[in-house]
Amino acid sequence: MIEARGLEKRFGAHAALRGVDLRIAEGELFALIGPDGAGKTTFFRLVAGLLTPTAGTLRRAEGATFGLVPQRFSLYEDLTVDENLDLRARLYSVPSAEARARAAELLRRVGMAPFGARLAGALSGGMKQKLALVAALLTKPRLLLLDEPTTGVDPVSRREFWLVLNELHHEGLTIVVSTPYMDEAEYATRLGFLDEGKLLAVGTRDEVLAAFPRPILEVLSPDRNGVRRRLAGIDAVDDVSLFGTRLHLRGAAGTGTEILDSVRAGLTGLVPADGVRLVPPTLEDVFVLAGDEVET
Amino acid sequence: MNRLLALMRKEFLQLRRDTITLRMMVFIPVMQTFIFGYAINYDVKHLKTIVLDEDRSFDSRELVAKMAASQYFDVVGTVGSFEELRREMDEGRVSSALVIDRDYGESRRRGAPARALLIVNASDTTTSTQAMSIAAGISNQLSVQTLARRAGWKEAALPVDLRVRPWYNPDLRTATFIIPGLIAIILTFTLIPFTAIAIVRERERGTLEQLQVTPVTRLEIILGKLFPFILIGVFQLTLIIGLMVFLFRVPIAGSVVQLYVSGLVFMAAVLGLGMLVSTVARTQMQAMQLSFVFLLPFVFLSGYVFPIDGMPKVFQLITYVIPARYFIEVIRGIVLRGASLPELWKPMAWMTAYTVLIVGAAVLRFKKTND
Repeated sequence: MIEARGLEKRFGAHAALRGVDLRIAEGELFALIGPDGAGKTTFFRLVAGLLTPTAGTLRRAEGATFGLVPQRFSLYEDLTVDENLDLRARLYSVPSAEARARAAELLRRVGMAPFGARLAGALSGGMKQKLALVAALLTKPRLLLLDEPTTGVDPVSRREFWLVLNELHHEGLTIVVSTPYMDEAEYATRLGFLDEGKLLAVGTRDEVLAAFPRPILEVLSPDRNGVRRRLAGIDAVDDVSLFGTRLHLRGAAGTGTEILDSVRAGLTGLVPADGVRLVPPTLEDVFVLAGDEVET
Repeated sequence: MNRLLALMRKEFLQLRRDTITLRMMVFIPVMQTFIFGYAINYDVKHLKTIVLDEDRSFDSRELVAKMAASQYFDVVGTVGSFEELRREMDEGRVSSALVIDRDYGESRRRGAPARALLIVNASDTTTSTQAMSIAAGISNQLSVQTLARRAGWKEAALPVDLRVRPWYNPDLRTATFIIPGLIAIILTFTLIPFTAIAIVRERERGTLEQLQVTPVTRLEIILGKLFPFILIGVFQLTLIIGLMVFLFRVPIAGSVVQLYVSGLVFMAAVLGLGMLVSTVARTQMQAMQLSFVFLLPFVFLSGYVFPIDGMPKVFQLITYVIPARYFIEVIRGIVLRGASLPELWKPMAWMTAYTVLIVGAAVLRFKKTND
């Protein structure tokens, strides 16, 4: 559906995308993950034809109509829900009877049927995103592009939103969605890690996690600060984060067992040996490591 | 075509809800017409004047009476000393003071120069220039009388009689001069900022980009955006013409249709400038400020308030690139002199050329705003 080869986009001296190779097949639900400024929005804008590549190629499958849900709400806030959808339909020359029926069906599907006469600007953040989704789907696209559709949306609306995306995916729609939320990335059939304009990892969730190069350890201790102070002296650990009474450690290099031993040794007297164990990495670890590697 | 109609429909739906803008579109022209029509008056009459008459003769009283009869000077009092006079002037209570020499009457009878002094507050140059020319006229008149009497001249007519006949504005009303040009100024004041802001707002909110994803062409976007403003411009034009004819009693000597035709050309130029501003400005605030960059030259270098002939050469050259200059020339021609567009072909041609240039540049620049 989408094929990028050596895709580059520069804005003056700043390179937003630096050689991206990516194929997204028909029917995929592909998640693009990366921190702010990674180049996710630029990628969408290139796919939507709003920008032209500086170098490399980007191909959309022949006749692949697309709907775009941009990061910022981009419908008219001073028009009602119905007026916005009506305008969209007219701009795509969808016959009005058909457009009305389809808009009603889509609004019902996202639970917005009663809000047709409401001004778009008066909708909640979650509803605005649903409206943007409805507007994008109104013209029956084969490809749906969503740029951080759930950023800043409350968790309940986020789940509802993803339920709809999953339904659409099962109906055969190709979906490319970017998100900063790791939990959302888990819904995708494949995901790609974008950072500083480079695609660092692509694959299914399991493939990406299996390729993670560092061991991850977990320490259980009520004295988190004491553990942290001790860990500061251990070079083999290069990142510590806190989750309640657990500490999440990332090994700097070497195999998991080597680091396990050195951490256990470093924490003797404070944490019993069975309080330190190796755990599988999460997407969050992949994300954080990508960010750290760019900083150094 | 359907897409274009859909876009225009959208603009009107939005405009209908934007009641503040709607009211401004009526309020701004009406307010400006009233301010410019009533407040601006170059014809300064009734200057408050005090008299220091040291002569107190028949002749000195005759001079004071002549000054008062001109209607340009209102004698509001007399003072006894120069110090008193200076105080009145310094404190701004009067704008001019007439000082008549002690032997004014005596000198006139004797045939020696009779001396009087008119002091004017020249901080306002328009007022003082006018006062000076009126005073010179009175002085000449009295001199001629004296000379004629002395020479034994009996005939009623003067040897030289150069008269002025004010055509096209026989009553010499400032409003007649100001209001037709105001059409250009009001269209500039409203359409440049409104257009610029309307486009920048769409870009700021991301709705323009959303439009670019649809099958809509750039030309459709531009026309859809500009067409409602042309209607607004025509509405304002009608409003000002109405006020001009019925309230300020400035009749249109020429063709109303031709007035609208030239108005439409000028509107296109102004809308083009608004679009140009929108391609430079990033925020609505910047669009507003940038629009104002055009407003001052349009008011002051278009011949609207100050005659172009009176400007320094450099500024005269600048006026050639200000479309309002040509439009004002055309409107004054049609409204005041009853000229027709063929007679006004020169300014019309220039204005049209600039319009094509501006709109062309705006459309070209509008194209490359994404990358």
